Formats: sequence, C-alpha cells, structure tokens
Amino acid sequence: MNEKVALISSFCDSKEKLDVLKSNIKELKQLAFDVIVISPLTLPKEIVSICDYFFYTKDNMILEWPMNVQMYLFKKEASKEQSFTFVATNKDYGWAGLSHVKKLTDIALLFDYKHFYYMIYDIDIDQNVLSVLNSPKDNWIGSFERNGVKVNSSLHLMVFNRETAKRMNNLVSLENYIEFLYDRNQNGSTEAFVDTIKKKLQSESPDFFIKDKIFVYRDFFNHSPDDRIKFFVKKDSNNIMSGLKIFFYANESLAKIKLIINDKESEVDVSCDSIIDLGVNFLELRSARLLINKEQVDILKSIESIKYASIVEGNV
Amino acid sequence: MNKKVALISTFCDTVEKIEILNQNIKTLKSNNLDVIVISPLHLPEETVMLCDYFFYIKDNYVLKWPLNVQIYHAWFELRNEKFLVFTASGNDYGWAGLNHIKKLTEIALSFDYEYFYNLIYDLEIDENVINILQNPKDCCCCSFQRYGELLKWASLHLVVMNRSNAKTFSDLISLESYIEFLNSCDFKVGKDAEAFMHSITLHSGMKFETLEFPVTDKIYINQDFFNYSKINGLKFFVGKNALDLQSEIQFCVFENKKNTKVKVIANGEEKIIDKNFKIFSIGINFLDLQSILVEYENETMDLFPIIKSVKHSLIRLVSSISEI
Repeated sequence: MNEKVALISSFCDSKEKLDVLKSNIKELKQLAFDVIVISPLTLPKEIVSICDYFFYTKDNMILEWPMNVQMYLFKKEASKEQSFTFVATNKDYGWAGLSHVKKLTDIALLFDYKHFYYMIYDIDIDQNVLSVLNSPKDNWIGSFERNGVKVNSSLHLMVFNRETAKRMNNLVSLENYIEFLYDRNQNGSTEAFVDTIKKKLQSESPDFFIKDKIFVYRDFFNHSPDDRIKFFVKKDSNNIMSGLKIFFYANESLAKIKLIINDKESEVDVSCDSIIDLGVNFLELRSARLLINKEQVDILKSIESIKYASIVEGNV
Repeated sequence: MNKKVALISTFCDTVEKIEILNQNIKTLKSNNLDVIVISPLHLPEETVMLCDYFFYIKDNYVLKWPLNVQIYHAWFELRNEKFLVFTASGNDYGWAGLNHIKKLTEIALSFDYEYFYNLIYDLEIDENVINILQNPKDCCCCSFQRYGELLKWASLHLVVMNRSNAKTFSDLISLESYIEFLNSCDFKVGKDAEAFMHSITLHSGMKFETLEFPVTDKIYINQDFFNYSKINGLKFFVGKNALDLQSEIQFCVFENKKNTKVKVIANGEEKIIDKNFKIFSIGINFLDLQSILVEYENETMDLFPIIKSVKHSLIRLVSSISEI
C-alpha cells in the first residue's frame, strides 16, 4: 500500500472519457499512487482491474429545480436602445461531485493512507500538477481555469493529510451546500462553495491554474430541437400562470415561418430578432409546432423539458 | 434508501457462482434490502447494476504458511492399536472473509442504515432466513450446517446487527485480534474464522441472540487435502515437515486398488512401496530433492511440483486420537 492515494471522481459515459480516465490512472500508478475510483456508472474490467479500489454507487445526486439549478446569463442586444438578458438554468451537478468527495473520503479513511489527492477523472496532469503529485501537501486546494474563466477553488485537485481530510469531510454535507446556495450573498456555484471550505480550512492556494481534458459544450440559450432555427423560451416556473414567450434570434438565413400553438397558426418573420407572446401559459399549452419550409418541427417536448428560463429586459 | 442493508461477501470466479449471487441479490432486493457487494474480482455489469453499491477491492487476504494455515487431520486405526495420522495444511481464507465484513460494515455505516445483514454470496435463503430478513435482529449470528450436519456453532454466513452493534462488531475485527486468537485458542475449538466468530459471541460482551436454526450455503467445493495421487486406483499422502526442512520426506499409501507395488524414484533412486498404511522415508529432505516420480502399473506421475507447493504436512503414528 502506498502512502498517497488518488481519489478519482468519475462520470464516464463515452469511450473518450473512459480512455482519459484510464490514461490518468496509469500515470498516477506510475507515480506510486494507490487509486480509488468512484462512479455512478459501471466501468469496464480493464479499468477496474488497474484501480486498487473501485466504488460503484447507484446514487447520482443531481439537484434539479426547484431544489437547485445552475443559472447561466446571456446578454442579447436587440438594438442600440434595447437589450435582453436570457436567464437559463441547468441541473446542478455540484452535489454529485461533492458527494463523491465525501464518499471517497469515508472509504479512503478506512485505510492507512497519509495523503489524499482528490481529483476529477479528466484532470490535465501537466508539469504543475506533477509537482504537487510528487510533493504531498497537508492542506491544499487548487484553482481552475477553462476558456479564460478562472476560479480560485474547485474540485479538480485538492490535497489533504488525514486530519485535514477529516475536517474537510465534516464541512461537506447536503444541508451545508443547500444553505450556501440559498444564501443570496453568495455566488451559488460549487466552486464558490469549495472556496468557502478553502477559507475555513485556511488551505494553501497554488500560483497556477488546473485544467481539465474534456469539456462538452452545451448551448443553454438555444431551446430549439432543430438545427435550422434558434430560439429561447421564457418559461417562469415561479409563476406558471404567466404567459410563455419565444425569442427568435440569429436566424438571418431564414425568413417567415409559421408558429402553430394549440392549433392556432401565426406567421413570424425570424430573419431579425423577434420576441413572440404565445398567448398561453404552460398549463394551457397542448401543442407547439413550427412550420419551416413546409416542414413541421414539434417543439412541445423542448418547452416541457425546460425547468426555468427567463427573459429580462435590460441587464440582470 | 431502505433501512436494511445486505452486505455480501463474494469470491465469484465461475458462472455458477455469479448466477447464484445474482439470484440472491434479487431475492434480497425483493425483501426491501439495499445491497452492497464486495469482491476481489471484477463482476459483470449485470451483477453490479443489481447492487446499490459495489466495492471492488484489490486485496484478497489469504493467510499462508507461516502466518497461518488451516490444518486438517485424517487418521486410520491400525491393527497394533495405534493411529496413523495425516496432517495437511491449506490456506486460511478466514481473514479474507472477516476483512470483507469489516470493510462492508465500515462502508455501510457511512450511510443511514439501521440494520446490517452480513452474509455470504451463496447463502441459502430459505424460509428461516426470509423470516430474519423481514424481522431484523439487533445482534445475532447463525450456526452453520452442510448436508444436514451441524458444522459450526457460529459462522460468517449470516450475521445481523443494528447500527451500534455493527460498529462494535466491526471494531472487534482486526488482523491483529484474529492472529492473536489463532495463536492462543485451543485446537479442539477450531482455529478458523468461525471459531473466532464463536469466541466473539461468547466473550465480547455483545448480547448475541441464539437462533434455533442453522443456515447453509448453496455451493461447496470439496477439496481432498490428503490424496496427492493423480493416478486412478492409487491414493497416497506425503509428509513434508516445514518446521524441519532437513527431515526426510515421508510417503504413505492409503489406497491401492490394484494391490500392486508402487515405485517412488527420488533424485534417480528407486524405492519400492509394498505396504499400505506404512510410513516410508524416501531418504532425501526437501532441500536436496531435485526430482521425484511415482510409478504405478503403467502410469507415471511427476510428484515434484506437488511437493514443492505443499506448505506443511506430517505423517505420524500416535497411540490415541487425543495426541493429535
């Protein structure tokens, strides 16, 4: 048994992700690490057999509206005088990651490891990360950067000794996380929550930023199921009686289309930005279709699947 | 999340064993138990998906000589009122099972379960067991039978506890306490994990409930520890005293269906074994042994790799069984 253990949080639902996980495990083993992987998905034998321990968990604790969501903002300039802000939401995967950290700690503390390296399966093990892997820290939480966006703290790499690992574990609970997210004075992200832990633990901070290898881009501001057209729906789940609206944008190549709501047809020029009141609220909506070049596109499921989306005139 | 969790210790290296594990998981789930499985072997996706949690563990703590072995004895009463005793040794899988229980319990304690059912993957889930699954006990362990014969007063096959007892129980299990038990216990009560479990039921201060029925398992692989022969019609045992490797290797035939002579050729030198139930020394100790063949009728077998793999075995003559 090695003195250092890598505690890897994973969600590998593609071959690319599995390959990255496998490659990282091999690298960590070469650096004299034991490896414990947690996953809500089963993993292939070739990966399980190179781990020292593997914990499959049925739980994939994703928080959804109204419990919690991640919010994304996009400012849309309609004209020189008018602008809108799209407020999109997505599931909160933060607790899924934090609960992995918690369970990995519970498991790793059952063994005699001295240093606990928490990491995401696709961490980019560059020279900076290698220096941390080779020089164990007692209380250290890494910073993270993606596409120029930098955060002071994240779950991508944290290093603790036994004592600090226990202290960190006690600070992480679903109750604490929810309480933090509901605090309007806080930026309600997982990274911000980790930053509060960093402050409470008085953890060391690096002078470099950690990166990950895989980023699956998702456009939260396009609710269209069809590549030919782009739109954003206003669906205020806080007030489901309020009317639905659709903001068509970035459709310069299209001209007029037909919008059919509850079998009532209207014509819309989508070649320029236009916000359309559907005249019904979500409870009244029975069918929603577009007619593009005589071809029907059903958009009802897309609207139904939105948990919360808002369009605010001006800045939020 | 259910209040009850089944903690299943496994070593499933065949399709038959995996099928029995799958079947038992389904039965447990249908009785409203969550399931956590531990395994030193990779299990198929189908099995893992049946579990609530699955813990793959690289460690398979099989204790070997000289740390510990399981000792098995066979004896034959001779005409001179003496007993011919064979003492064989096998690996001790007891700590592997106890370690599974410890790790499973510790992991399960990190969730909010109220009742912890430690069990073996091939436990026969009969009406008696179903009754326990439906009516949790605060602290109980079952005796064990196989083919209708009661073999153990306590076993690892089914142990049921509430949260506080599970914690106490888990703390009592350690490699140190197991080795200490093995080194101190009376051979007659057994030197194995079941005897260790029995001693916990008697001496730990935990209030174990005694159940009226024994449990049993579905799979039993009978291993003959006393016959080293691969030749039909011939059975023999070899003595290799690991406590004194300078002592000569002994040879004893205990079944000779064709009633013909057995030839043993050690380091090229022949020795004829012409009597059954008689101890023959082959005149060479293990350190000097380079080759050993056994000839019987027209068949020859190479005994060297088998002797090499034997950790410790003895052939003795005693006046009474109590001397064993």
